[in-house]
Amino acid sequence: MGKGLGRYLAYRILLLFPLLFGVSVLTFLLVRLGDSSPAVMVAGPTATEAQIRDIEADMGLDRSVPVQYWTWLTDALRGDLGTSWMSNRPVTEELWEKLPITLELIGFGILGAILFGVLVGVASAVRQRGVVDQVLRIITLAGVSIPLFWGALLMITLFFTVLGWAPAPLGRVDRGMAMPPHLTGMLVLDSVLSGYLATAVSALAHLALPVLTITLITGATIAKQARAAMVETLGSPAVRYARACGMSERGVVWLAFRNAVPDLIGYFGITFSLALGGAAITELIFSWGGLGQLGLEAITNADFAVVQGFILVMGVLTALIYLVADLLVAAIDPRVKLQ
Amino acid sequence: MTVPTTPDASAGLPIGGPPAHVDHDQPGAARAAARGFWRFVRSSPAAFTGTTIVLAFVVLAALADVLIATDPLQVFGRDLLVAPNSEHWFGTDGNGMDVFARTVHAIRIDLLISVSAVGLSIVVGVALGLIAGYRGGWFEMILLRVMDVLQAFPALILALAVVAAAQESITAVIAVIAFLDTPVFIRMTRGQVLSLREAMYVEAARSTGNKPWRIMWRHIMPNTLPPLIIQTAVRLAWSVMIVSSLAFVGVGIQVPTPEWGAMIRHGSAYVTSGQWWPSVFPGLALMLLVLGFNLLADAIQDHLDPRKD
Repeated sequence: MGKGLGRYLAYRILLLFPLLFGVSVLTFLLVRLGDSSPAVMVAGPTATEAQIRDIEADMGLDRSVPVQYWTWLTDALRGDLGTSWMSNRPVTEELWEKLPITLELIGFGILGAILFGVLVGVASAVRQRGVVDQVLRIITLAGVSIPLFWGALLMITLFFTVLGWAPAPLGRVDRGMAMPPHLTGMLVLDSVLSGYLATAVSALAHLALPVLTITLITGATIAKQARAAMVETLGSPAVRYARACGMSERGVVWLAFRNAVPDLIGYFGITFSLALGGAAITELIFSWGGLGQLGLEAITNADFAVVQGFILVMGVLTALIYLVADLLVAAIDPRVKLQ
Repeated sequence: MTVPTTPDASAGLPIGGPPAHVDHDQPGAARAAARGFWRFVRSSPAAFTGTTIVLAFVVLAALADVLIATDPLQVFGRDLLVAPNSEHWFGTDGNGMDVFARTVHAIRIDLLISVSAVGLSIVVGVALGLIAGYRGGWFEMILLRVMDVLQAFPALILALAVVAAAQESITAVIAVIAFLDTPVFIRMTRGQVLSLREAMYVEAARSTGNKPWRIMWRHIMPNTLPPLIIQTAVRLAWSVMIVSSLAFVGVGIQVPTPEWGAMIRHGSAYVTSGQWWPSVFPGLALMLLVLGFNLLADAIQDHLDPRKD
């Protein structure tokens, strides 16, 4: 696959540019469609009409939208995404700083959701129509119907307020903990690497609730898909043939599972790109301080430059998720050829 | 012109496949539709539960003013954050408003927005999907490229950015959700049309001189209905979630308007101090309605799928 893989990757990365261009144009237009203006926010409630107009001119918002976009685009191609008016820092710097914080949360969440979802889905499909299946299907259906943000609040109510097991949902680590030196920006990893074990434990405790929320709720969607895929392969001619040849039940389930994996990975891509938005709201609830919280606060405060950069990063993340899913399928399924 | 078309009855039939016999008179068609519906409701526990939940919510929304004496916007001055009791069944929130009255009244706005948004996206999506699938060409190509771009980022975040820019406006929320729902219906209808376009009966209709729009509307469209009905239930569930997610983040609909997401946002401030009722009850209602739509979608799929297990 060596040479073909390189060409395929180059093709997919090239494809990313028109896509991101489209996304950036759309975001730029839609954000400026409304009548909320950052100038009004910067100026404050007592500002006069003239002051607001001055600030608008300062920010370049008085020019026509195509001119504004052209300026933004030429700057962006040089790696400058503008400045946030909320923090007065370059957008690229802020995004770069927050990205690992979010990746840590999403990484654990995705891992948990896949493990939970696949286990439940396969168990359900193997015991199709039995009691276990019925119970698991009801749990799955409830999970699919709960919005992530409400699920997070339920978790906090139960595990923090009532039981007192989890730490307060205020950030990534207990206050006053010694912070490890910045290596990757992922707190658990940095703490372990530099030997700050108490910090690592505290960080893991803070991760538990948001990760559990994502695991259960996103995992429910995966469980539903996994069950459907397994039911399909368990009834396939290949499996019936294996049964007829006298293969053990364990072997049959393994065979059916292996045949279901390519479909499942395809579903993972869709599910996780949809879950990015929900994960951003989860950050907001746990005051996580990552990319999601930054982006959502920028959205509610009309911090246009940050919104633009945030959505661009989300676009890249989504494209990466799809790319990884496609590569995995190609690696596993001999019927699929990269082109 | 007598061409074998799908009987009119099945076009107006909400759920349950074509009727047992072809009724050309209106009362007969209505009876057949009712029979089909009843057959569906009894087909599985999921169908029964889903139908019951959704119907109950619709009835509650319609009769909210009659059934509940308490005004959802009335402030009970000193009774802030009162726990659920016989007077305030779901307690009161941080503004001293009755959580029960607000939770029930919120059905209206959430249903209004999601039903209008999904309705709008069906009209636009099916029309564009029919044309793209039947005609193809440059129109289809541009449409598919645009949808690729739309798929490239999380829908929820796009919706947030747009609705925040438009500020508190129900129209903006409806427009954004419809915009995000439309590609689903375009893709689905187009896929159906592509497979039906070459069908023998469409060929026959074409050879007897039917105009393209008549073939699309009378011959192809009715046969795209079953997947459309399933997808409608799925998208309704999704839309209700998005409406409340937007309000939860603080864009779109705001307190004091009774809306589940906005209520949960407002109530979330009290979760860590132990006052769970202002956020838990609206969330429960939200979950039930989404569950109802999801059950309906699953049940309709099982009911229409001849290979059902």
